[in-house]
Amino acid sequence: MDPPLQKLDRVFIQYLYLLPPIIAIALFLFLYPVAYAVYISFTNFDLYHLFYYTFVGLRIYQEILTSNTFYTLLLNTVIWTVGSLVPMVVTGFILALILNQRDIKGRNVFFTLLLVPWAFPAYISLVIWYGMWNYEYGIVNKFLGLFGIPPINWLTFTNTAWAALILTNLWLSFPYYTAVFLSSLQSIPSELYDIAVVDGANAWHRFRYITLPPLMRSAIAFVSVGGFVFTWNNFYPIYILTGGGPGISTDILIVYTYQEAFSYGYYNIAAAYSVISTIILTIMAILMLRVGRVLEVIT
Amino acid sequence: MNKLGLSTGGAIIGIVVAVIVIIAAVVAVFYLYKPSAPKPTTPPGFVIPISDFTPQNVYSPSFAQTFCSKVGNVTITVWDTYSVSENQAFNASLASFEQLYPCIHVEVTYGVGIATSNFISAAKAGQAPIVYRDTSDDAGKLFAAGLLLNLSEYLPPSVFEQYLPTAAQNFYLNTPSAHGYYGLPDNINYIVMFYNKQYITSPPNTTDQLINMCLQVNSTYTCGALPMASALSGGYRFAAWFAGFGGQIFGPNNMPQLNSSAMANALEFWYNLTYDLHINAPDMNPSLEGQLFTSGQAAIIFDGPWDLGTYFKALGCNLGAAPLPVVSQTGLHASPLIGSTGWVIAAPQASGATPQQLEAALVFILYMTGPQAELNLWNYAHDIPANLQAYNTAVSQLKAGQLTHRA
Repeated sequence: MDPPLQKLDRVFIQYLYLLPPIIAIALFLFLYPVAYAVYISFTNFDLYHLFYYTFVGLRIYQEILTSNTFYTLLLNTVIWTVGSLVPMVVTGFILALILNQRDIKGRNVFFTLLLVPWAFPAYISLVIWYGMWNYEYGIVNKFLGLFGIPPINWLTFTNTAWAALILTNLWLSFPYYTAVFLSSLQSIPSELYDIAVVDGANAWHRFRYITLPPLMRSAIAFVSVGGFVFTWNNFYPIYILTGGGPGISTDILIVYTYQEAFSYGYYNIAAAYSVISTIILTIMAILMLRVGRVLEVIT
Repeated sequence: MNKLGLSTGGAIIGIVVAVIVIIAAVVAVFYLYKPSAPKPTTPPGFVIPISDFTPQNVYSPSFAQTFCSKVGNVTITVWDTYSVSENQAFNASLASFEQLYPCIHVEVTYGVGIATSNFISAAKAGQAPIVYRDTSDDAGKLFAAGLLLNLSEYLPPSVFEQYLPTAAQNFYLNTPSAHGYYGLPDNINYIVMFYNKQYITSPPNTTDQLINMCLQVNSTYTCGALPMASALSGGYRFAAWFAGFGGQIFGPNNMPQLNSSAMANALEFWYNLTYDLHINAPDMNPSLEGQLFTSGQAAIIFDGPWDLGTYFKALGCNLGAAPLPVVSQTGLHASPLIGSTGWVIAAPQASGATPQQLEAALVFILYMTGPQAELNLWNYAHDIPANLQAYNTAVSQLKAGQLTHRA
């Protein structure tokens, strides 16, 4: 055999050794849990049928899709996702633009400080925020009181609960968006700005024609799709701050799924909810990927 | 001759024959009747008869010796859900148990939170702990799902009479699918009124008195002291007031009936206390109310005995405790839900336990809910005992003002 072919053979055999762990990981860490969830969503598998359960077909899906609860949860999930994503992207973008100024002093210090909310364990942050929204002792009402604004029972009423949830999520998440936008901004060659200045372009023109186009192509589209998927399934803020309440007025699909499984013991219903949520999310992500042409940019 | 054509003599003979036949039948039944086979005195695979599993026996060295000689060495797995102070009591009880039963090796997993989901996951895999400590309401769910042993089939009925009836009843379920006792209680708990004697000298008996006292606190301590800090979040704590206004959680056919005037009145009562009279702090949660009370910033809170040790440590002799007051509008006591925590045994299908492990588990839970172990819990953690003997001792200590804190 020719030496190059021998070498190819050797490489092929080496890769062959990697195959079993790759298959094992794919099967047990990815495919098995997903397949099992799909499977039990077609059964009566719950706490009371833990060892012996039977196939019930599409009954669970039919019950979910014909219930008002599902549509309330879906609407809440959209409110939560879009309501969080828009301010997060805008805030992250503005902060990145500020930090990208060449003449700004102590940029690294500011950037490090901005990362603190992201670096701090989210669970702990949320417990602290829970205290901050307290009617009587929370710092938010104390602060508003300085301006003569009467205290608000933030987490007890639907509208104020949404505001509290979205503001908390904004605080938790904006550093990520800032970091992504900033790295993207810094990849734009500074010479372009210098040439534009020589050509007489003002700040708005530089932003509109140099900064925005590459960002729109890559960072904004990428961050929007990624952020959408992440926020849709962002469990802890709602679980810790409101538990989905009052009633289910701030409950979202992922939190309700958890409650169905671990509070009520209906694993089959929880699995069906997660399958439906995943299908909706996948459709939304594909649409956004197509519209944002993120894959084209990446490839 | 009568209408039937029988002579008087014939009738007499007939009656005599009938009487003789009846007597013969009764005698035959008496001699021939054999009662149906009694319930087995020893469950399948067991070497100790059911009647021997009693709280008195498990504390007896001679029983322990017999047990070890018959059963041999056995290991049981235990999930411990006690708090830090409760664990001190548990460890003391465990040490004496292992000394008495050298043949039973207890593998304890500490720090397991009371979370049935962990137990369910382990049970599904057939790896649930053989013994588990859970609340009576959570464990009821597990029993209904067939994951716990039906103790009525493994222990003599007299065992369940060793506990406060309410505590024992907390671990009893009667549904078409599950019927019997599923656990032995190691405490009993319900919401009471804790007050700080610095602000309230004697506890209010009615809600009117409560309001007056709180208004008094408001006017006397204009800064730094709240009359009340009550976390009413969740049905458990609010249920007492619902009952005080005449409400019943379950109606006919065991269906919930919460949409009632009693509910509206109870909610209105608390709304007024909080937002009109300003004698209750709004937006409370159990953690916050505890902090306010222990730091002397709240005069009254409504909480359970699980925090008694913390409050006693913080307030010492200034701590007072009393039943919830009578609701003045209705004349009814605000009646809290009464629950228990206790020990349960996983069904063999959930844990894979052998009959000998089940026998050891039964001995273990009887020991841990016996008078000595529950007094340990009382002394270390101020858990109110469910065991009658331990309860009586604890109550007499309380009456004598001998409550102490063991750190």
